[in-house]
Amino acid sequence: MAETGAQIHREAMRRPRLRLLTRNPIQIGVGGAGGVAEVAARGPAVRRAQAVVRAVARPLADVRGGGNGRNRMDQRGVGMSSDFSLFERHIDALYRSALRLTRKPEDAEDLVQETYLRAYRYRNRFKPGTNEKAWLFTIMTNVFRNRLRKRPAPEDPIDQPGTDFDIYDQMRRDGMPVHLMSPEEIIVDRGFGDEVKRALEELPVPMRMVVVLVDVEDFSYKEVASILDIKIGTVMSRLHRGRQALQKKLWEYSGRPKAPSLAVGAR
Amino acid sequence: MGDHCEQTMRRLNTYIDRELSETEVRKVKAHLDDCPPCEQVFDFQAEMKRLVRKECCTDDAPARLRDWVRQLGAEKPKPAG
Repeated sequence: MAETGAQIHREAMRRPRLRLLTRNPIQIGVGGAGGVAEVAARGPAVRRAQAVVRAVARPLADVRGGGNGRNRMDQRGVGMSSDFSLFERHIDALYRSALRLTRKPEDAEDLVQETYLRAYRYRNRFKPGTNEKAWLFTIMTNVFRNRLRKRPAPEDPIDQPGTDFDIYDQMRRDGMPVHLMSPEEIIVDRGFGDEVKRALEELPVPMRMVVVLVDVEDFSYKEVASILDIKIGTVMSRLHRGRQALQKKLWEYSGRPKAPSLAVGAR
Repeated sequence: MGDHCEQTMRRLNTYIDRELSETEVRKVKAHLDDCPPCEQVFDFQAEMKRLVRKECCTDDAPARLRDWVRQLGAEKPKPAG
């Protein structure tokens, strides 16, 4: 089912006809050149788009809709060049995840653009009736991983295995009356909410991707395994470690344990 | 911590993520109903998951990106090849 290398290569050699917006905003509908696609891309945008094509050497449309029923957005699918709006509707999900992956708004925007460029170019390969959100995330995570390989983020933390940690357990061991507090109270009390994004963005990429896909985007383990091309067991272990690492960071950010505000009897 | 507690804690992630079979869900649920300490751990971990989602869902795509994608979708390209 794989596309042939030659086919991918041919596609890669074709110049993308869209200029990427973040580098050089296009005045849509102004200046007479017609649609966006009339604008020829040059330089980095071309090289990046070509890299994107090379990055995805495995079929994208393999993620079945359904699983356990979540993310089964729409069974009608898109036909040949028809309904791009099926893809458009996931822009917020793609963007917020891109933001967690790249950590920078301009890079996130760029990543989402490249994702849609590819989705547009290969829209005929999307299998109607399969999960288009998973398809888009497959494209995006591939583009992202490929970029990272070329330009590793130097500040990327080292994955330290074997650090079992969870906040609840830690508080209990610290002798705090967690049994008298609701989860919401604990979270508000310690200000965990304010630092979630920061904590998440500091996780090693493999864990971060899994936590984002499962916890934020609500994909099933099976879907994540397919999106990232890893085993379900790997999804589960990364998720487990990712959550622990996230809680550890939240715990550290929140500073030393304060006296609880003791809203006794709230449960 | 009894056997049931340990089994439940091992399945907590998959339970929270709705990845268990119906039979397993029933088992976990039955134990949680019976065991307040385990139930509290579950409540907290489930709340943490909700928190991550809630905090991360506040970033919407910028309008110009949205427009760009809409324009892309509106293009009527020539057939490939």
